[in-house]
Amino acid sequence: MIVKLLFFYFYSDEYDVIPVTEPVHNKSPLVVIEHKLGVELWCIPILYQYAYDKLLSWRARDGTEKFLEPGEVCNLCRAVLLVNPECYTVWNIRKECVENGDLTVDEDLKLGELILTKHPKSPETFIHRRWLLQRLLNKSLLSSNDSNHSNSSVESSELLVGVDGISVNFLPTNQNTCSNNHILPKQIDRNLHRTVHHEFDICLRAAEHYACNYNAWSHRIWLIQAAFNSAVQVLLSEFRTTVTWFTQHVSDHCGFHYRQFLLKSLINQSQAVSCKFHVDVNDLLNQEFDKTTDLIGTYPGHEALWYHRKFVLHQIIDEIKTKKDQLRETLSKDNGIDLKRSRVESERQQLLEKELNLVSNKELLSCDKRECELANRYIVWIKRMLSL
Amino acid sequence: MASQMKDVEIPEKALKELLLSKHADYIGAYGTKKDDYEYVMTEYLRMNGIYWGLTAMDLMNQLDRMNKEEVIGFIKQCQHESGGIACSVGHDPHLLCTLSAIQILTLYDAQDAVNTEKVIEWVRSLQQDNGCFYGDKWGEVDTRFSFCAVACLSLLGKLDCINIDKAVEFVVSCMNYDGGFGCRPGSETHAGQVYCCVGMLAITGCLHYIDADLLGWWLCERQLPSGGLNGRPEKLPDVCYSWWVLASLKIIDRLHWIDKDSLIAFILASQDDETGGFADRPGDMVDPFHTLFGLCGLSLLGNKSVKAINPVFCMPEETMQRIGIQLDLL
Repeated sequence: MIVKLLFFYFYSDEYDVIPVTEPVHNKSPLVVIEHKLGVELWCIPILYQYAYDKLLSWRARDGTEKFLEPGEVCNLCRAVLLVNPECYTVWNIRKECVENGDLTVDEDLKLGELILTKHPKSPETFIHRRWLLQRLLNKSLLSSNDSNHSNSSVESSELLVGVDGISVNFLPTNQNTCSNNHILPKQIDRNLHRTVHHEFDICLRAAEHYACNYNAWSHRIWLIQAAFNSAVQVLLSEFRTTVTWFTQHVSDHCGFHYRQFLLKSLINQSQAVSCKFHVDVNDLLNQEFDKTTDLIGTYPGHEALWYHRKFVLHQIIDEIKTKKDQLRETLSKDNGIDLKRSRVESERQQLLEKELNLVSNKELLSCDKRECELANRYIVWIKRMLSL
Repeated sequence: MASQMKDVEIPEKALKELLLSKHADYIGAYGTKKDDYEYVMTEYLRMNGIYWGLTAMDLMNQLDRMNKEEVIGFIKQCQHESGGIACSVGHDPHLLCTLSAIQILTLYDAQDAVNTEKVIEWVRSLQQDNGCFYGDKWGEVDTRFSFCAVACLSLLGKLDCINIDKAVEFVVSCMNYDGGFGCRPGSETHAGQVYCCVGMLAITGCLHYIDADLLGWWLCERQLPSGGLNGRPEKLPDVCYSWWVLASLKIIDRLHWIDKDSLIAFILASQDDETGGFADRPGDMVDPFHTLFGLCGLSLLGNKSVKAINPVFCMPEETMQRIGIQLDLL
């Protein structure tokens, strides 16, 4: 009966356990107030054991449960997963239900979304979401495929980079001059579009509920790679929209790593970034560096900030090295090359030394013991870079 | 004035001695109450749990207290037609539990209790064109699975049945600028993933891809003032990272970069003298997972009252010698 009731209360957007340890006669253990589902503690082991045993018995085709209606299978799975989302076999049963048409991808995404409100870092829930989303992406790819274009994930990503989903500032400004000919919007599957963009919200909510949520952030990265093929528009949009988050979560190394991933992906496509969007990655790096050092000044003693500072500086140095390598290639017969090369070398040197002095004169003298330790570590790293 | 730092404080009265017989009693009794709700809830990791318990017992020279026949009989029931092995009876096969199963059978010198040909074929079938491994037929990619696959095949003596070059290429593509590794290309460096990737490269003889100084640096920055190790910046210390981080350091020959004494103190303080076993940190509830890795950490740090542990396979060195696996570490 509880299992059936759970079905009706499925359209909640959040759930949790109510610490009632003894059942009250004739009173339902399920409470729903304004789309929030509460389940009384006492009934959970009973519910779980019942649903779990029935499901596995059916799967093994032994004992009394040789046949179950598909709807009942889905209900039992839901009951098990709401209590214990790490039970990967039950997620697999849901996958089979989707493949049989007994369950839609959307319904399953909804269940996962509900589960994440209580279990925001559940690895199996995110793993299952990737299977569902990949299924949607593959289906969309097949249906959009017309005779002129070959199958490729670039195609599906272009479907998703819809005009309305991305901040207006990052629309391509010149559609004709660049090599990528797939800019013009094709038939966009609106549902898929909405689903994928909603996935970003889900990741963010999970990241809010559990600090340093590796699974939520690595899922977000997967989304960028699998659904958008790391398209520059999306990278730039994400870079812009996540800036507030990381200034409000200065201890969250995952959040910073996400920005590092965005920056690195933009750097790898720096030509497209400057050509199509008239953005210089060096400007992005310098702005990021300034923002980070500001935050360090405001919030001393945060290791995540220092790691981020190190990363950004490392990328800036790397860009200088890239410039140097490019110089070497384009001016191989130029007598002035030695002068230019050494100018680039000294640019790198100067930058590192400037940073060394800055930290030595500022953060190293902080009264915050932890801040001093972090500054010292950073200085050791700079000195190592200088010696290379 | 110091800013708040994520760490724990080891209490004055913290335990300073290794309570081996208490830990042996704890593991010995674990899982005897099969109707316990907690036991039922953790069935999705039963195979892993058995591996943790047995390895811990073997390290303490107490393996014969465990029911070998029952365990082997259980594993036999968990092998599927496909060849893959599940976490428990009636569950689906997965690389994570297949590795645990093979590790257990290797410990017991009973690999032929399962159809190893089919295991090998199933593991081989999970490798993809880019070298990565799926965890099972449903297609999740993670560097943990690269480790599980090569460790499993290595224990079965069939590493050459996969495309080793491609497998290595994929793992190397997951290396980040800090020298560490994440779960997929572009993912954040995580000590657990580092262990899996470093272990994988050790098994395939490709440790030269690693920048040992760079990675060693990141790894020893995991050590906090309490002496404990965390898995990523700004996370709390956890005894299991005494394994993931320490084993990685050992493989790349940078174990001496860690402050041994304070780490030993942290691990010992995480014991529970009433129930036996280790917790993730001092004062918390114990479990077999942290008990194994607490003992493994102490073994790597030179404690002579437990057996030597192999840092790549997380199995007793004597077992590795018995089956003839010897890897070149850095």
